[in-house]
Amino acid sequence: MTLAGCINGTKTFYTPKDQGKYDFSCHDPFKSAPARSRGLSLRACEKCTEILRLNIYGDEDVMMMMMKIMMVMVMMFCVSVGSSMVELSVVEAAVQDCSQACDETIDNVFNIIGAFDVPRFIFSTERKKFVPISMTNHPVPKLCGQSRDKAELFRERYTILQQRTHRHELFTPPVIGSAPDEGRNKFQLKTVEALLGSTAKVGEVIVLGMITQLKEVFLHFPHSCSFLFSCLCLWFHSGLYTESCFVLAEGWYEDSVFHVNAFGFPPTEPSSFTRAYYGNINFFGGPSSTAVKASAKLKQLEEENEDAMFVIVSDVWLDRVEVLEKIQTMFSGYSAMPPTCFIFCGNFSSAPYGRHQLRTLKESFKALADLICEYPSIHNSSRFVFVPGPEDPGPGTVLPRYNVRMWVVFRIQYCSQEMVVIREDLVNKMCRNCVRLPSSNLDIPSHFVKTILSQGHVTPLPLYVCPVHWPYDYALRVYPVPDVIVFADKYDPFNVCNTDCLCINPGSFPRSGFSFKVYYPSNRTVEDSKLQGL
Amino acid sequence: MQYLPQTASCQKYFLMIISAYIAAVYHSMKQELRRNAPGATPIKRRGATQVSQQPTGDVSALPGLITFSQEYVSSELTQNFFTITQKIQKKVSSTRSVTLPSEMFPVLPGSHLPLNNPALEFIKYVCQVLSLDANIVNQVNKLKRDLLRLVDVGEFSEDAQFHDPCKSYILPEVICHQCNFCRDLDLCKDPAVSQDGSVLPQWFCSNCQAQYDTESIEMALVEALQKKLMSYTLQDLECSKCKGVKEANMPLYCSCAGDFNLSFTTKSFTEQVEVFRNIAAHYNMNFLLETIDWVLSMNA
Repeated sequence: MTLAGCINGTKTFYTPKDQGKYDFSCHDPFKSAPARSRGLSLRACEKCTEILRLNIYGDEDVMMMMMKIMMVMVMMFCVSVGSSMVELSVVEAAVQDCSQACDETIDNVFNIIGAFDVPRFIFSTERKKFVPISMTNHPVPKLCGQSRDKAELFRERYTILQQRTHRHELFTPPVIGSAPDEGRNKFQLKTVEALLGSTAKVGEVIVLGMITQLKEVFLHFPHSCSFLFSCLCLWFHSGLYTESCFVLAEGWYEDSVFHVNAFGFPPTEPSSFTRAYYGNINFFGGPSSTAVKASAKLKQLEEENEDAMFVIVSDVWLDRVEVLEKIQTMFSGYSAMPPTCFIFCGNFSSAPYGRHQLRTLKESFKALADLICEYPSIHNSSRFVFVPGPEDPGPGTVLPRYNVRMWVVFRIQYCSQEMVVIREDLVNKMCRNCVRLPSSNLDIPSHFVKTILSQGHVTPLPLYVCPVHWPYDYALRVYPVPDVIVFADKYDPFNVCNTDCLCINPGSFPRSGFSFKVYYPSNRTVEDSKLQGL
Repeated sequence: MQYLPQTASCQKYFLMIISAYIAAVYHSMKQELRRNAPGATPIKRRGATQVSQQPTGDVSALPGLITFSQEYVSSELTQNFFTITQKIQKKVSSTRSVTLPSEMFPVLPGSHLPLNNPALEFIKYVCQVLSLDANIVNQVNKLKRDLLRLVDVGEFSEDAQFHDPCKSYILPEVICHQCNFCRDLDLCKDPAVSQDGSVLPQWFCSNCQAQYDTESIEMALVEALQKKLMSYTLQDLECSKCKGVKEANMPLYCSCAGDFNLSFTTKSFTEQVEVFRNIAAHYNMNFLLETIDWVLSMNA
């Protein structure tokens, strides 16, 4: 096939028929090639020649562009069934595909992705990669799932952590021929089948499982066998160990009892590692077909725009006069330099009960709208994102929640940065459902952030504590790790950075002396602000 | 009765038959009491009371009453009923479509069945009401069979079974703000009817006739919807083979190799949400309607 030369990167073309070489610089390869060569139809040939002649890609290296088109055509050709000829339609589609990849439109700069719009990828254990749902037999997610979805929820959480742990350097088998010292620091993750099959005592075992409380506290695995574990001299590494979180347990196995020495969380993985392994799949969502991290243009835009800022405020009680006054102060302060985006999280009413709740809420929002209109610079340039709180009216006590066109957990893509925002009182829930009190070497926010990132999920809690619509559990995943996670929680404000991810809690606006946080994406910093006394 | 069409006077005929029966029974009861009044010697009637079967019904009813009502049903009522049904059938023929409801039938909050055949529905509803009197059950069954033959419907077919045309939701402990009277409000079956017979989009307190606040009922319904969603998410899964409840989280199959089934099915959930939707549409509850539409669209 004429494409052979392109694929191995040389500048020569071969035709199978006459085995001759054509140097691109002096021949027009498609014109020289016999019209009957296997591969391109006549019209397809003409189209390719036209493109080369017109050189529609401007400054782009024409050779590179032609190679790209060829690659796409090969892929399409291999996938297509039927004629052995590359038709005109295939060439046109390939050209279109390549030209789209070149130019990044302004649409990709700021996008909000609701929880129900997150793309669904399923990890295929045979192929060891993430496959979009359209390429599997998996049914389309609905709000009310089937019974299988409830088990799949946990199995998927497990599979993701398992593949991540296997890839971690602590668990990869040592390279043959390496120094013996290196081998000593490696661990081997054992599977359940391996343990069940052994009759003798197996020492130095590490397993990955989920803590569940059935009758006694069990360590649970997806193959429906659970181990009773006995905890002698038990050591817990840092983090909040809740029920239904996945842990690595180290110990020894004898007579169907697994004796645990220590518990730890599966190690986290920076998003750059994940992308290096899986390529530029857009896990995050949004209009871009590839991950926004891969776009140099967006990265440049982000760095250049130093004034961009995100103002994050939580518990904006719009029915209270003092809250509205402080917001007005904020607006007047920012009117000279309007921020990119205001993220206002609920609850939006301080007294979320009673028969007039809806009416009061509508009136308070109207008051806010009037306030915004008083500052035309903010009105015109800033975006407003509203996140409903747990007490705001709507169909949701189950996550992901939707309250009349607002989301409680959703994603923002700004240039090449990925932000996840969740409004839920998680810190309290996690602490209350801990299996064991966390160690005192770290403060609670650090424990909390470590737990969330190592679990790869914002709510690593059992369903009865934090109910989740089973088919939409994937929307609550934070894998690959995003750049920023905003936990709008009524806990005290905190900023913690872990695994290249900045975790922010602005705290409750009225209860913490009117404090909020401002995030600057260009240099990835967070500024604490307070309006008390102003 | 309100679920019958207004055309061909179906509703009027319904009232007529039922009330005629009740009136006849009442009059005969009065007569019987007069005859058996203290002081007068009860005269046992002989011969004419050839009861074919022993009545298995109400023991407290006077035996003369039972025979009277049975005779009434098998003679006078049957004749009237036949004539009326034929009249209805002649006037309004049924529509061909099986799934879409006919426009003749009024759409009320609580409507959920696709009603097509006015004569058939008329027969079913009247017979259902009459069969409430346990003394005349056999006569009513015979009557129903004959009538169904008239409209070409098999006696044991699915169409001949009575289904309540009104699906409703009972809101517990609704408190009136004027008089503090507390009751359970059946949202579809307690409608207020205006002068021209159409259903008003309000509810009234049965004690003081004050209007209930529609907004608070709307919020209560939204809360009920939230609870249903939550209960769906938190439901138990049971094995299709051994009927055991699933304990562990991760296994796909039971230890007996059976599949797991939902105990609160999607169908049942959707039906309940549809009832809410009907109520919301009829009583102009926009917030509830929007929420329900979103839930139903996410499930489609």
